[in-house]
Amino acid sequence: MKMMKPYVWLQTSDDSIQQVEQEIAMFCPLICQEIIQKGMGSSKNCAICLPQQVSPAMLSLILDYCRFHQVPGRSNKERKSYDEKFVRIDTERLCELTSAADSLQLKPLVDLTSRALARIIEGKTPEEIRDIFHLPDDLTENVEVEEEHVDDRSVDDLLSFINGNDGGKLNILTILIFVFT
Amino acid sequence: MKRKRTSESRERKEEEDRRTDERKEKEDRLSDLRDERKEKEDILSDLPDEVLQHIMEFLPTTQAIQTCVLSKRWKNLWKGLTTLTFLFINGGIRNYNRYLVNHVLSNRDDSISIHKMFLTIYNSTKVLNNAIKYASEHHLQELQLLIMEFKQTPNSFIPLTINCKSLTLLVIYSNSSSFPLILPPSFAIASLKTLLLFNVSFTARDDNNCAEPFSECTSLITLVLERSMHTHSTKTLCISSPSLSVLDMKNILYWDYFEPEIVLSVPKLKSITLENDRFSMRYRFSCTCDLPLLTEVKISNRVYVDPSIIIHWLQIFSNVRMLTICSRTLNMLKDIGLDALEIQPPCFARLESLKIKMHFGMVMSKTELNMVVNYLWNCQKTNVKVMEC
Repeated sequence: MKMMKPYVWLQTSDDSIQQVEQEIAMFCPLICQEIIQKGMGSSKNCAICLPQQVSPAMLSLILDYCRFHQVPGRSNKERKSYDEKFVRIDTERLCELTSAADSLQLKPLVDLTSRALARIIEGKTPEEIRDIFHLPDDLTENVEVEEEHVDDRSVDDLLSFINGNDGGKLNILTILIFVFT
Repeated sequence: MKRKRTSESRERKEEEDRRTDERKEKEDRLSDLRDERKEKEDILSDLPDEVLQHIMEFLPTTQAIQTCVLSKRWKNLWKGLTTLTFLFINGGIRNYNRYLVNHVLSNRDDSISIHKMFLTIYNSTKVLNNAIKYASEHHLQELQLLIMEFKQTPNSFIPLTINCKSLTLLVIYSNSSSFPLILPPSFAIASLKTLLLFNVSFTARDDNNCAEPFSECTSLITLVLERSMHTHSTKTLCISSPSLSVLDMKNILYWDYFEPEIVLSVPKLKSITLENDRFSMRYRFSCTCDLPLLTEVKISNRVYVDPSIIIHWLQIFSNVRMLTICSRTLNMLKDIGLDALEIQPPCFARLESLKIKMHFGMVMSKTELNMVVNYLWNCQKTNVKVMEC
């Protein structure tokens, strides 16, 4: 008899149910807990109900990520370059992915997408950040606008001052930090 | 003439009109943008606060605290950050950094612990000490310090650092143009797992001129020392640790006429790296045990030393499994192969792989290299893989 690869049934936010290789789905701590502690997912009738944040599109992205990293023997360089390409998606999808990965408690992916989001934010003015993420402008109305505008400017000036000078020394610490994080 | 002037003034008027239109258009576009934003949904709204804070922790703290002006939701988020990064390097920013550190520490949520802190300090012992004191009261686990522009690197923060009972990682990078940081005889942080020191100098415990600073770091696994043996440092440094597994010593000597002694008492050592491209490695090196767990040794010495010293190191590390050695170091050995009777080559009983790191523009010929490799490894029975990289 041919050995069946164990599968697990998952239900996404749109109520659709799909079958997924168990060893890949188990990468997500939340799914792993459901299988081990509650014995869920073994059939279509007791499919594991995934959190609201996990749409079918996001699930498929997350499973791609797990499938790649589950293969043993890949070098760190390969993993790094896969990760880099993996987060090269538009900002809205990146946010959705972060939210889905967080709800499945998939920490390495949350770290990866959070770092990518931080790179998007880095060096931007508050106004630019609000534009990118469609944040409501509910603080900078009325009097506050003026004050904060002045404040932003001075910080920007300082930042460009730093960036423009002595970049060499900055590298030393950046390296130190990346060695230990 | 008059007509010309009229036409000129007409042109000017048209130009003004055009500008007004443009400005108006721009304003319209801006207000459209604002309306659009109101209509579009905030795409970060699904993310819990912890995730937003996690994103902010990848930013320098200056920018992280700027997020307080984004929207109501972001106003107090930065106060719960557990990673603080004060990365200002430029001298002109000193006062700003001082203000920033104090501002962050006094306005953040006092009930939340600090996990990691990166701190650049310019000649203000007060800011440094306050920050470390604050951090030690907030369960700090990882501290990285970059200490700049002091004539003499202060060490009054060391007792405060030792007080951080939860510290697992400590990096002290003291600017090499200042006098070194003088480490006290004992550096007892029992929780410390990783320690990296740059430009420090060691103090002897009593009159015997022997420093043994790490013996009370009972959890220490990784130790990196760089540019740390100075003429006014103690003569003997004993690196003694029951748990140490990884030891890196890069350009550890600060003056080449200073010949100290380094004694290793590290029974659990798995990996050691000796790197040197500045001063001659003229220190005596000895080991109190035969390093039974030793797996990896990397030797990269680019400054001339007597070949007998290199042979001596190899003898100390003869239990190694994977040896990486640079071609410049091997080059120093090329003369003793002919006279093999004088110095016995070490016996590598467990060696599995030998990597030779080739340097560009090496004067050593292939034949000479083979000769050295044969001298050192010919008599070994095991199959040693020799790789050039």
